[in-house]
Amino acid sequence: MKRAEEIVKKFADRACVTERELKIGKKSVRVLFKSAVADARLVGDLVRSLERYEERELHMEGLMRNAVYVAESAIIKPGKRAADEAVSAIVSGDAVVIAEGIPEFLEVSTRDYVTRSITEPPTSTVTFGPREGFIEDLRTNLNLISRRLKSPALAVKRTKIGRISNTEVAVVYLDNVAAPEVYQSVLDRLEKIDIDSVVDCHTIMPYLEENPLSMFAQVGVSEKPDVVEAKLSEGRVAIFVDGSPLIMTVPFILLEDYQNSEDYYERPTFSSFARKIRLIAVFLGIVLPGIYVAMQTFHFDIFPLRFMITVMTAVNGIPFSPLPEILFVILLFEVIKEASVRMPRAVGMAMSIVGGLVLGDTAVKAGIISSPAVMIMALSSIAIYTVPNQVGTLSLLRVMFTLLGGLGGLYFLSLSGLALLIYLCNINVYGASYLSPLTPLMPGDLKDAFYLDSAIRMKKRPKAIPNINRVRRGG
Amino acid sequence: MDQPKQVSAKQFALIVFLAAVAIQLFMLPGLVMRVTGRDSYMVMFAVMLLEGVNLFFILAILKRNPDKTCFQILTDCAGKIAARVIAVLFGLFAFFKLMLIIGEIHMFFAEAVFEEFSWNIMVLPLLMILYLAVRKTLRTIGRLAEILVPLVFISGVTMCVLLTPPIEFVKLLPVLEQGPAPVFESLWQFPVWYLDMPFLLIFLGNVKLSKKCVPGSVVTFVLATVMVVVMPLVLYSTHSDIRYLVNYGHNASRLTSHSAEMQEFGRFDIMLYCLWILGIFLHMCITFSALIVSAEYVIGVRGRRRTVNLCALAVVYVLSVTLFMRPDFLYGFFTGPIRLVVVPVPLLLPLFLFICARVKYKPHPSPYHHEIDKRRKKTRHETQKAPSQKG
Repeated sequence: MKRAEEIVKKFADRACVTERELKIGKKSVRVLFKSAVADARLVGDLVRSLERYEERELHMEGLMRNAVYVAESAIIKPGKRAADEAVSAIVSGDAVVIAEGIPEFLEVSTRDYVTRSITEPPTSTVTFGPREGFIEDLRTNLNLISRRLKSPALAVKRTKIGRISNTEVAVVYLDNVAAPEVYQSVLDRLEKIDIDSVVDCHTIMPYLEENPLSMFAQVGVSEKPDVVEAKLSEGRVAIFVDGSPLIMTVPFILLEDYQNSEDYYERPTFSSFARKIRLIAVFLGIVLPGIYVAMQTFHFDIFPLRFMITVMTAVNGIPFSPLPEILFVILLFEVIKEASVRMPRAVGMAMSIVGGLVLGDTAVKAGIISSPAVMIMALSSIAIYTVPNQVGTLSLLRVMFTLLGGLGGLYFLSLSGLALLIYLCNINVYGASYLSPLTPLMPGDLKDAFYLDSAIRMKKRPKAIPNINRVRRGG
Repeated sequence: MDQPKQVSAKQFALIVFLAAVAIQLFMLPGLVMRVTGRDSYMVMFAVMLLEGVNLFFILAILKRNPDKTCFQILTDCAGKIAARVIAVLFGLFAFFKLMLIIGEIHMFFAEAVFEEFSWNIMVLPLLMILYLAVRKTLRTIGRLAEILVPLVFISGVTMCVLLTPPIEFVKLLPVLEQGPAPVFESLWQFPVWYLDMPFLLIFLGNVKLSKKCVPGSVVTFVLATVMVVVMPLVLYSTHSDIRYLVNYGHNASRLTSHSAEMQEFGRFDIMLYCLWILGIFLHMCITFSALIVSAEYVIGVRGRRRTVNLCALAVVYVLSVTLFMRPDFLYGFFTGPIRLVVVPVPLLLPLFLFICARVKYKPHPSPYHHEIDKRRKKTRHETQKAPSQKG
């Protein structure tokens, strides 16, 4: 069987490909698979069923319908790329059936990957609400979402990306809700990707973004099926990547990261309060050090008299001017944060205490930094963690605002705030304005933005997200 | 895929508010007070009346021919050469207005906020903002207005409240002590300060017209008028004749700093000004847009916005750090004969375009076509639904 040998030759390590030879009638048939990634039991069943199969005129269509009992099987049509497709199937864990005198190949899914169990994702834990999270296996992830959205409208379009990795990617959307131009645009972008391997969803994320060099994420990510389900039912498109527990969703708007899945499992009044707290916290987190430095450097008269006396007493004798002082505290905090994240868990806690308490306290007592600076930075650092998905961006913005506040006071702060707004106003993601529903103002969408209205009153899907069916529920 | 790059009706209404309020509240009252004293509110009222007339013409064109741009109407009616001459004068006015605002901003920060202020460097980020805002379409300005105008409004109202106690309207009397002459003098001297509505002409053909567009714009304009007229009323009824307190502009900032107990509570009013000044920055972006659009039309280039933008900014930079940095020159120049050259065109352009549009074009068949379509669909749907409901 020359074709089988041609396929085996394509492997650097030929021994990794296992061959089973059998006869159907008078024709010789071979089954090729990679034992490391294929399920031995499924391959055994396949071989046995092929051996039992009897037909006068052997053809792949009949073989697939009457002999193979695995749902996920397909015929590889003859052509220039047929051998490559067969190789791709084998490396993915599928078995390929080659029959003498028949130009087609039969690809049968016999994959067997080792996966971890479904656990609660550490990045988005909830007190009340679903705890399951996605894992690294595409099939399991699709299963998790299909179990939640039992609708014939749930469309799954699969493709493979990566010349070497051949990573499977699935584009999922609700056919009767998502706007065709959105999912078509996603599919087109995925089609154009030409890279060696897809390590994680973050490898293909820049290809899906309108402005990949921006510091603001334009693709949403989630590890939780309930979140992805909610986003799909609003008309978004989800992109599943094999090997990644993070599911990407588009269109993505800035405010999405301020919405926590737990908001929907609490009373709306409390959730609304929590959202406002998050917004205020983020504002304080990025601007507070800048305002503090600006006030100390240029606008001391803004402080009320008593407060000014307190601050002046505290900063008296500090060798640094406000800007280097606060930058030093930021640096200190970032170093502690970076070290605590990378350290082994056993020493992480101890080091955090040493770094945070001992170092900070000693520095204040030694008169190197002032206590208001430490307090401002501590408040700012805690505040930006209220929106964990944006910590990186917010940390950078904080440094930027601090620098500008120190260099040009409130004048530079106002200008930089405006520049940031102009930048954000110009971002559009798959037809959605990045700052919606704030601008363009969509009053209906505000029900699930700065506050959370009762689900009973949210009759329509968000206008900001392009969709073809705005009615969320009747009545 | 992308949304149409137009300004929505809501955004346009907010831009109207911003254009009516930004300069009139931030810069003009102080100047007018020096000339007209306690009758300044009359000047402000007259100014707003004039602006209202201009707005009326703009809205009338917008409603009748929402698809026509300002320069399209000009070219169709006046011919290419005359249109270019008008565009040059309109652009020149936008340029001078921009220089005036930059000069005023310089003075505000140099006098009220910073002890030492190196304008040569500090002006650069301001110009960068202009570049960023005008780099793309007018939609950016529309969206910015949607975010910033509520902040400007809140800070303006808060400032009025801060200045309010104790109001004694008796301080406004006697009315017109020196006759109407000072009122007319103010109107005659400061047209460069108060002519803002003509810049909205650049939004013609770029607004997604809906039924609410015209009433919304009128409402925001009336609100702005109330704010602008109330401000000098409040200032005078609280602080009596303050004309000797103010040198140039920024009367409000000086007054709040002198208000009772400000030292006790700190000058948090500066924070409000910084919010307010965002409105001025945005107004600058509109003015700069008008300059760039006019320049593009005059030069006849398309798709080279970046070059035109950078060239204009270079000229603005050089002049703002040389000639227009000196307050005496700034005020002398803009109250001098130059105003007689540049003011007539923006003052009369809305009226001219209104007449041209009426003569040249037929009214647009259905200015709110998408709304009409929607209504038709709804009626059809209800008609289809009716029998089943009965059954």
